[in-house]
Amino acid sequence: MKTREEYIKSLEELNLEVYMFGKRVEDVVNDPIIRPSLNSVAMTYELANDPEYEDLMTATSNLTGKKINRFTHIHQSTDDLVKKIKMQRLLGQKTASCFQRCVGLDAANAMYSTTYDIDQEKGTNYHERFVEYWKYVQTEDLVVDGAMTDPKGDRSKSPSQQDDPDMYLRVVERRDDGIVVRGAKAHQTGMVNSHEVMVMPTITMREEDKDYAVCFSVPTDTEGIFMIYGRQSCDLRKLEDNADIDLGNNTFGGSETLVIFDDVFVPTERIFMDGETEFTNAIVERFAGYHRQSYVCKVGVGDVLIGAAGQAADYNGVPGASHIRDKLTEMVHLNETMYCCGLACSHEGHQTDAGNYEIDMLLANVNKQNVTRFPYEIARIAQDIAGGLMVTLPSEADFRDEKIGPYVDKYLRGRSDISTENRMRILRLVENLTMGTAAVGYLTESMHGAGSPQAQRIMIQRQSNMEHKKALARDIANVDESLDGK
Amino acid sequence: MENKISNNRLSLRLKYCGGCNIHFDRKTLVEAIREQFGSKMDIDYVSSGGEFDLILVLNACPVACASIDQLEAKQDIYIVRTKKDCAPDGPVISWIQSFLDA
Ligand SMILES: Cc1cc2nc3c(=O)[nH]c(=O)nc-3n(C[C@H](O)[C@H](O)[C@H](O)COP(=O)(O)OP(=O)(O)OC[C@H]3O[C@@H](n4cnc5c(N)ncnc54)[C@H](O)[C@@H]3O)c2cc1C
Repeated sequence: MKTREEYIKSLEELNLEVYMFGKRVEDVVNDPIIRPSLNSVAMTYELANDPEYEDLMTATSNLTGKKINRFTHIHQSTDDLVKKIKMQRLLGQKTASCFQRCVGLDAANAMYSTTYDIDQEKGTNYHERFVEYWKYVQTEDLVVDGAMTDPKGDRSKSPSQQDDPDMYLRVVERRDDGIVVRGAKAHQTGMVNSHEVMVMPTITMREEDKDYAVCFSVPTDTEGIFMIYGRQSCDLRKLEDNADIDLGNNTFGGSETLVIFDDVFVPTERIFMDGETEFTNAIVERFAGYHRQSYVCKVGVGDVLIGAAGQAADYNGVPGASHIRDKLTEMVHLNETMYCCGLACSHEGHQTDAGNYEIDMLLANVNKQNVTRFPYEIARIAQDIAGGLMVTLPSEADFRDEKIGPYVDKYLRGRSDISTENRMRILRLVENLTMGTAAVGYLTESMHGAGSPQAQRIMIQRQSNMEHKKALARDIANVDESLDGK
Repeated sequence: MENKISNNRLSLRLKYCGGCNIHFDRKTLVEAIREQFGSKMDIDYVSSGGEFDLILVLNACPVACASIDQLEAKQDIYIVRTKKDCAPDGPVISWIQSFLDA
């Protein structure tokens, strides 16, 4: 396994083409806007090497028999699925942001079983290729970006019906030694901090979309790949001198990019699906299922936000007020409800034909559906408890200013025994999580990541086993079907 | 980390769960153990494998999910499952002491 330092060094060795504010980023690893997101990923390495956390953070590979970072593990039991979500909660607590490494893990587990199924039916050798590739990922302890979401253009049209054929990533050339692909993937979490990118189709496809039904992996600095960094609200605060209090979280963050594949060559051994449209549904559902389980990470971030709200109430002198206590209880209730669903879909997992373990699809979708709502309610309550100051606070520069600083200190104090600075720090953390850079991950990603709410409702409906429920009702009500249709 | 000890001192290995839901203060207990027994025993962390005299499994909540199937203790294993177990002057300390006295 890599250490934190080795991970950072390995990123420095990549030649990533990243653009931000119209310019190429010279030093991706040390750029002040990007760096907090790197720190979050680095935490997945740091904790894996710490005896206090390794029980959750590491696993034994079924492919090599070696101890590996759990973020590269092919799940071998329901216990593995449970440990995965505990690891995610832990990392949410430690970073209070998106630590970006789940997407690749979820993509790998979906690819592992789907490549196996394709081979069984088609006589291809995708699974063998994938397993060889994943051994390399495990051995080198790499970060893999899971790239599913295409720009999609007109949502009412299929890939091949789009006016611009590149709105979904596609194969533009087939050669003896590989394929050439063109297109883009949007919202790519952690791509700037990844060694590899694994591409998958984003929707179920039909025969006419054959060229779009493609899965592969390439290094993130492959010729033809470049990224355009996504803006986050309040991002420029990171460029301010001695930025600290005003950031709310000065160390960690998340990141997304629009990734362009400008005629990128993919060698044959890295192609895991090419044209098997009938398996696109399996890829999308399995990846989405694992990823909808993964959103339990927001429970860990929620732990921090609930703590911040409780702390803000303490600093305000109202921790004992009954409505405050009740609101904090409601936050915990919402947070733990998400955790319950994460645990449930993991405990109820099952083995696939390929041998790895998959979550219970219905419960994973219920989990994500809750995640599209509960963090918003938790954030609303946190803002209620924090008070208006979290959005009207003067800057750290004012607080530190010789002339006006004492006024800020005097008038923005809550309880007299608590420093104004500490009060400001907690309020800025609430701001960061509910409307600043971290709200990208805590709120909007909770809404759309792993599919917008409607995508889960479709799956919940499909998995609901409605006929069984109707039969139960008929049985209890002593329905006599021989009376019907007369 | 998992090497057998080279001297005759009793070996005590500490195994942590991942700590995603911390209910017990393990830090104070470990500090107390190191302070009281650090000079008398060989104390280190363990992840899996190896065979040691004593193994102390430091769970952070009653779920007690630390994986211990790969661990073997020559003398005894203690699994922390409650807040009481974590008291710096509680049962874990007497448990360790009993092996030193033996
Ligand atoms: C912070 C963040 C991080 C992300 N990280 C990743 C990542 O790492 N990898 C990755 O692959 N993706 C990632 N995603 C993408 C995520 O999966 C998509 O945002 C999600 O699938 C929704 O797609 P969209 O954003 O294009 O929204 P849209 O498709 O534009 O959806 C907007 C609305 O339109 C509705 N809609 C869309 N199409 C239809 C239709 N045909 N019929 C009826 N209604 C429709 C939706 O239900 C939704 O209500 C991330 C997203 C976010 C916000």
